[in-house]
Amino acid sequence: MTAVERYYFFTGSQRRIRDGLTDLGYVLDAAGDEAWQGTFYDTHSGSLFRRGIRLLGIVDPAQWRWLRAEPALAADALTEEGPAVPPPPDDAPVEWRGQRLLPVLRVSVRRKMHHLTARSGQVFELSVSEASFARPLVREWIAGRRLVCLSVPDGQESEVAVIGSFLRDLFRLKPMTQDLMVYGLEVVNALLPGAPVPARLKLKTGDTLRQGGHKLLSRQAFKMRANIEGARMDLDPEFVHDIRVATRRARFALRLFGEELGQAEAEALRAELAWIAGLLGQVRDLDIMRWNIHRHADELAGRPSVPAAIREHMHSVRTEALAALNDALASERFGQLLTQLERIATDEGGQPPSEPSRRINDAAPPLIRAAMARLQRWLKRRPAELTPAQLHRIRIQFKRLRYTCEFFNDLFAEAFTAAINHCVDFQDCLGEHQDAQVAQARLREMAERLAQSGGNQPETLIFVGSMIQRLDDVARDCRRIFEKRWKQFPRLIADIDASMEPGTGPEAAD
Amino acid sequence: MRVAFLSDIHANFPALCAALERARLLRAERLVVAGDIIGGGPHPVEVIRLLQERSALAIRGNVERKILSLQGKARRQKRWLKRKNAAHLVWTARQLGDAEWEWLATLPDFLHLDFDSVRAQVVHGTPQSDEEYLYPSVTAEAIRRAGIDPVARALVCGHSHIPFTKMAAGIRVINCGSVGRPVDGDPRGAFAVADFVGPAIRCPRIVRFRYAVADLVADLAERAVPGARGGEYLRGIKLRGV
Repeated sequence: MTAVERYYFFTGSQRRIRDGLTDLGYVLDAAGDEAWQGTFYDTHSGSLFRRGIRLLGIVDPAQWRWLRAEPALAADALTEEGPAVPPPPDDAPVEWRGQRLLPVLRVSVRRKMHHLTARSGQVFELSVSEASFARPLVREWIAGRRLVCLSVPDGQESEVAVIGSFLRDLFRLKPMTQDLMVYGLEVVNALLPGAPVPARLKLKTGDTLRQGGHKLLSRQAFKMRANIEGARMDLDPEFVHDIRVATRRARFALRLFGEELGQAEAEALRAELAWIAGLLGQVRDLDIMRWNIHRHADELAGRPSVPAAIREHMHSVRTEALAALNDALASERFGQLLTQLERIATDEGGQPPSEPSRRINDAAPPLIRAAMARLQRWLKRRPAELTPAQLHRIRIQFKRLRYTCEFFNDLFAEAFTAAINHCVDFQDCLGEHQDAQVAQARLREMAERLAQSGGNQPETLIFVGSMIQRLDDVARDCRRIFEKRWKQFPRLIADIDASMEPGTGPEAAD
Repeated sequence: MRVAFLSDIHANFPALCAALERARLLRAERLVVAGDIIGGGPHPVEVIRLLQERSALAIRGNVERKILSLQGKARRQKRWLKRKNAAHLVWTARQLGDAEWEWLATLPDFLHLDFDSVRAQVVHGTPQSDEEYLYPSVTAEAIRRAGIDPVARALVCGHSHIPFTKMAAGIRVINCGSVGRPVDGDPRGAFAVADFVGPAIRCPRIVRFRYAVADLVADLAERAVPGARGGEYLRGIKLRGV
C-alpha cells in the first residue's frame, strides 16, 4: 500500500475546519477512529531515508506500509513489496532484499478519521492525529503535537495542493515541513538514519587548518555519538564498526593536525582514543572472525557446520568483550572524551598556536603528497618478497592516505572522490589478507584454549585445521590480487595529483 | 456601508487570505474584486473557490479575458506555451476545473454598483479598456474624457498595481493596487476601503498588509509556474513585463 501524506500542526477547533471545508464545497464524513503502533525501519546507512522513502511496519494488523517523504518523488520509486516476514512486535531487525533493516523509531498513533470528498468526486482521508514516539527498544513514549494528516492514494495528488492551501492559508494550520518519521526523530531527540554529517561540519575553502581540524574531530565525535545507542543495544555489528572507524579517523586527525590543535592536548586525546579503540577492536575482530568462519566454512568441501564448541566459545568471548565495551561507552570517561573532541580548537578548549594557522586549501595538497610519498617508498620492493607484516604496514599507509584524502574531500571535485575509491580497493584487498592472518592465529589460540579446558573434540580440530588451510588460500589469493593492483599504484598517484590541481574544486565546477 | 475593493490577486492565495482577514478586521461589509483574479500565481483554483465562497462581486480583467480565450483551444494553448509572457496563462488554464471555468465565464467586464445613494463604477483598467492604466498622475481632463458613467461618483479600478485614491473632475478615483503582485517597491499587498454613507464617500483609503511571501515563493517553485520569479514578490517589484 502506498500513499502520500501531508501533515499540519493542529491548532484551533476541528469544527472551524469542518465548517470551512464544507463552505468551500467539500463533503466531510466521519470515518471512525483508528489506533495503531508501528516502527519505522531503515538500513544502517539510511539508504531508504536518503532516497526519500520510509518503510513503516505496523504490528496489528500486520502490514508493511511504504511512504513517500516528498510528494514530488515518483510513485514508481516505491515498491509494493515489503519484507517477507510480518513486522516483528519486538523491534527486531528484519531482512529485505538481502539487506538488514533496523528499527529507527517507534510510533503510536490515535486518529479520528474523516473522508473528504472534493467536487471532482475524489475522496481523500483527513484525520486529526495524536502521535507519540519512542526510540527502538525503549518503552518510554514522548507525545508530539496534535497533527492534521491529509492522506491521498498514489496518483490522486491534483486536489491535495488545493486542500493544502486551504489548511495552511485559510485555517492557519502550519504545515509540518518534515514527514512523520523525521518529526518523530526530532521529538525523541534522535539523529536521522545513517546520521548524515551536518553542514556546519563540512570543510570550506577559506577555513584555516585549525578550523578544519576542529570540524574533522567534531565530525568523528558526531559519528561516534550517532552509533553509541545501536552498539550498546547490539542491533547490528556495523554500529561498533562505525564507532571504531570514527575513533581511528579521530586518532589520525589528531596526528595530522596535532601542531595546529596543540600537541600536548592532541597526544592526551590520542591516548584516550587508544583506550576505547582497544575495546572496540576486541568486539569488531570477533565479528569479522565470526563472519569469516561462516563464510569460509561454506566454501569448504562438504560445507561442514561450524562446531558448537567454536560457536559457543566465540559467543562467550564476544559477550564478554561487548559487556566491557558497553561499560566503556556508558562511562563518564568516554563522555568526556567526546566533549573534548568537540571542544578542541574552539575558543573554549585547546591552546591556540603561536603562529597564524594556514588556509586548509593551501595545506591539503602537501599533506596528501606526503602520505603518497610514504607509500611510494614501497615501490622499490618486489611485492612477492613482502612479508605479511610488511603488507600490513602498507595497508596502514593506504588507510592513512585514504583518511587524509577523505578529510579534504569537500575541497576537491568528483575526480578526487573517484581516486579515493581506488585507494579503498587497495585497502580492502590488504584488509582481507590481514583478516585471514589474524583469523588463523585466533583459531590456533582457540584450539589451544579448548584443548586446555578439555573440550576439544576431534571434529573441532579437523574443522580448525581445514579452516586454517582455507584462510591460508584466501591470504594467498589476496596477495596475488595485490601484486597485480600494485602495478597500477603510480597511476593512482598521478590521478590524485591531477585532481588536486587548482581550478578543479567544487567551486570551479559551479 | 464599508466596502473593500480588491484587485489583481493574480492567483496569490496567501495574499488573498491575508487581505480578507484584514478586511474582516476593518468590518468591511461588501467585497468587490476589480479583475485579474488569476494568472501568474500558483493558486488559481484556491482563489476562485474562496471568492465564490465569500460571495465576492467580481469583474474579469485582461488576464481572465485571455485565459477564457484558451478554453478548449488546444492549438492556441500549444502556441502560447512557447511564448515567454503567455506560458503562465496556459499553465493557469490547465489547472481549472469545470466549476472554475463556469464561474469565470459569468464575470462581467464592469460593474455599476449603488451603495446607499452613491453609484460606483468598477472597471479593471479604464472604462474604455482593460489594458489601459490609471496612475496617480491622472488629470481631471483625462477623467472627463474617460467615458465614465455620468451618474457614477466613484471610479474603482486596478491593473496598474499602483494603489492611490484621489479626486479628479468631481469623481473619487480609487485604484486598489494589487493584492497579490505589488510592484511599487513595497512587497506588502494592497487593497482599498471606502465608507459609503448617504450621498458621501467617506475615508477612502489604501490598506497595506503583510502576508506569507515565503509560502508563496515555495509554491511557485513546487508547482512550477512558468516564468515566475520569487524574488519579485519578495521585493515588491517587476523585473520584466508580465
